[in-house]
Amino acid sequence: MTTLTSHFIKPLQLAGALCVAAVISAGSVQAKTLALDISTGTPVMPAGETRNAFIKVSLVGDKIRERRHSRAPVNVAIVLDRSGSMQGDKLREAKRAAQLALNYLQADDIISVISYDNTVRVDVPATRASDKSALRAAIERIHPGGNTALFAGVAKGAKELRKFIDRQAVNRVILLSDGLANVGPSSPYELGSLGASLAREGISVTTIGLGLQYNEDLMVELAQRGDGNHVFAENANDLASVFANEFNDITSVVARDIDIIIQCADGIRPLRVLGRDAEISGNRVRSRLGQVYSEQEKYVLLEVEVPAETAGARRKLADIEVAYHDIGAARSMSDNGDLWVSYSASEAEVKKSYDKDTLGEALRQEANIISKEAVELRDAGDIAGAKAKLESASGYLRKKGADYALPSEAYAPAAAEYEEKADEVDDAREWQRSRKALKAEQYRTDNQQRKQ
Amino acid sequence: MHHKFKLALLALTLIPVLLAGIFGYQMLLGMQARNQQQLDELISFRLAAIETGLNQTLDDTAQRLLAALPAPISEAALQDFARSRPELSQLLWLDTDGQRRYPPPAANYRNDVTDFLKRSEPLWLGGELLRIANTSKESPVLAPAQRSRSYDTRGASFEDAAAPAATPAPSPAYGWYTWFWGNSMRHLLWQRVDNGVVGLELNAERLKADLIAALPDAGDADDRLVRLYDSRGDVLYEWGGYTIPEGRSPTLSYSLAAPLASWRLDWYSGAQAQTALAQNLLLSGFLLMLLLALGGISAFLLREHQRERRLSEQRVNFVNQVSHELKTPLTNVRLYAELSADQLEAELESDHPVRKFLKIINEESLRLTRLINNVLNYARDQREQLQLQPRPAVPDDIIRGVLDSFRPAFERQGIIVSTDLQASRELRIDPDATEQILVNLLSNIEKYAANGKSAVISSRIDGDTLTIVVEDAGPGIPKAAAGHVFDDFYRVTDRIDEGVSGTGIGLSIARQLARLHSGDLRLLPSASGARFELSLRGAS
Repeated sequence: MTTLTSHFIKPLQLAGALCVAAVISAGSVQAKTLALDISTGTPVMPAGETRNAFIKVSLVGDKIRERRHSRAPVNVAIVLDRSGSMQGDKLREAKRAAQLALNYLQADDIISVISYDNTVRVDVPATRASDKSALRAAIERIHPGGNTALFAGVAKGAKELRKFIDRQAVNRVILLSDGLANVGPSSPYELGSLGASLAREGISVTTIGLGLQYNEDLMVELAQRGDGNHVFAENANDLASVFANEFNDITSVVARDIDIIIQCADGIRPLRVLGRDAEISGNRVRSRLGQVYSEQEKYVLLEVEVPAETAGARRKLADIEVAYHDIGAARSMSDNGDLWVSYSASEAEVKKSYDKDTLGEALRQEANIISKEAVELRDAGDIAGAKAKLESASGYLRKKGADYALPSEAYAPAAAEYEEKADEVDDAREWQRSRKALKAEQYRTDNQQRKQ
Repeated sequence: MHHKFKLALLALTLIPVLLAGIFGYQMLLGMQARNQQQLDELISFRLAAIETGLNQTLDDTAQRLLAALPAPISEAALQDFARSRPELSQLLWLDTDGQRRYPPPAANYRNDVTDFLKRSEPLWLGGELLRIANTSKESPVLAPAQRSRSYDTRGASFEDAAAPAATPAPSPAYGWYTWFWGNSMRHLLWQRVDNGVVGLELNAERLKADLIAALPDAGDADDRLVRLYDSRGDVLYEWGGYTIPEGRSPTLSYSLAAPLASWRLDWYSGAQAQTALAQNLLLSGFLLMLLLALGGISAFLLREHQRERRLSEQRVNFVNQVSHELKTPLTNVRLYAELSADQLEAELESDHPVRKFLKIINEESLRLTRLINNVLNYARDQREQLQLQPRPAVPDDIIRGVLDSFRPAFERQGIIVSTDLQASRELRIDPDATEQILVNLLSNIEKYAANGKSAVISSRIDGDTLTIVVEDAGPGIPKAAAGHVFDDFYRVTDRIDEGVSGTGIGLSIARQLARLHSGDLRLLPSASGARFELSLRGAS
């Protein structure tokens, strides 16, 4: 609204307009950039039993409202694979997707384009995205070559980002590869370690695996530790939408460096955090999120052991503290809250209290863990075991979903997906694709990445 | 004769080309060796510059980390530091007693901390890092350096990689320590602080990424490719546009010094191969031109030679045919002269002048026959058609026959011939050839040695060798001419006012015939006059 009115502001009215703006922004402090929502799947616990409970600390990025502030500046390095295997459709589509993605950038954003085969070429050194036709032309000139120096590509991409690195900006490497890294470090561990180091600098790394030949373990690990997204694009034709989604995410980051501390109350024993890395020391659980995008939920799901109490009693599960960097406001923010449960002897009351959203997420995370075990079994050559695991993931979803009386759309599609994958486990060719799809799905579930 | 000429021309063409080729190639090798040396120097200079850049990156990292190091050191501060610094993997803090303060002793550690404590155990156990920091005399100034010490502990090999200073310096406040763990190299930066020593272990991948970032991009220079190998011997990074042919070894391999010891740079130069190729092409081109030029000259000479040969052949043919044409009328002249002499013998008294005239006609026609035979033999020799027809003959009979035919002329000139003939045995020789040789020798006496008034002819047979010596008492052959008397058309004097004529082919033909006969005709040294020795080999 301010943007609309500001067009009509006359110099004399300026002071008054500023007052209005101040009032509006003061009011918007109430509507926090990250909405903190703390919940448990079982707000009413059965009395007299020691039970496990899930604590979900959820953060939802608010809508980017133009009247408050414009979006965070973007500093992005597109790192394209131009190894021999990219020749033809793949490179053409990748170039086209990158060129189209330029449209998401504003003139003040920073872009660099790096392409790698066995050597690395900086096709566009970090520059403002003001002359898009020149950028398109530079991308068009990329031509395919030899091997795959993926590590060096990321290293050079990070170097370009550093030229204009800004804690206020979204600094991101978008890595596209269709093959196995074969020049320089090439193990998932090594790439993950580099990703972790970059994340500490405020550089996130998104990895896009194209086709069926890339190393999904490496790409997932790099994205995981590099705080970015991971996407499996089976066809080159998908790249345009993959890039579009990625740029949508990049241009909608509302908060970064989110530090979540769950201090469990006395007697509450933290067991594990599902899907995410977390430090558990004593009763204190600490987890870090790289960034939260606008209108997107990210959460930390903690399983705790809750001691038995008599019916009617109330118990505090935890105190939660959240600190983050608000990109729009350009300052650190914090929030906190606590979580209580009550006890009841009535099973109906317990069931009635079920938080279906939290339980649904917990189910998905549990099934995801089973799915990861299935991949491990299949990697070890145990096809039957992997098949059984995937089927059990599906069975688990269906059974628990019914137990919790969740709406079927909360678990049935995922269950069907696992059943489908279970059928594909024994076909070696099909598995190559399924494995990538599974790894991408697991990653998405772990990180609550937006679906494509 | 002709073949020899061709061979000579071929040699004339090929030998200079061959010599130029060998010489040029040697020169080229020398040049290339010199170029290689210059190139090597240039490349090592540039590689050293790259190394300086890499060391600079390491030093920048060190300075950045040390500047950000919390002060005073405390467990909480270090924990934040370890968590926030992108360059770091883990860190270690030993207090002044060498006790480990960070990571703080605990019942259990996170996996990455457990791994770190295991791999860095030799550094913190017994306060080793403190000892290193306190005793290090090595400046961390990252100049070309060598490894100073190394030891093995529990399968992990350690080496102190702080670079030594040229002059003894006070113990530096910080330094590098590198060691191998598993198959990768670890870098630890230590810094002495008030309450002990802090060791900062770098994130190995981050270090690699930073080093890569400091190196050039692919670039457009397609005359080189530079490869950086890490401590595992794997290619970490490469740049340049040159595509290395299969199996090519690097132009120069350059080992980096500590703290990047066991890393190396390989430089592949494409320019060098191109230069060598260009030089080889140049030399080949030059040799080809030389070959063409010399070949052209040889071809020209060969054509000239063939034309002359053809001309001389035509001349020889002409003379040959004329001689043949002369033979028939001459035979008739002789036949009728002899017939007339026989007819008139009864009718005329012995001193009748006509008889004398007929005798002269007879002698002169004989002489003419000999001349023509010589010319015909010469022509045959020129066409390489001179052949022998050996048959049994008594050499002395041939000698007597020839002497008989010369007797009238010798008597007229008052030449007395004495003989010592010992070759009365039959030998397989060509009588015609033998006769021709003798005729040529005797006609020389008739022409040039008549004033000596005497001649001696001796003959003998040793085994199957017939030797005939013909000696006169004439003026002899001057020493200067002795070597040439057997040459074609050579005459000791060309003056025709001496009243004697000659064609200059007599001795040449005679020797040719003798050599055909596996023998020789030689001019023997003699006090006065000329003395020829003829030797012929013939089966008994």
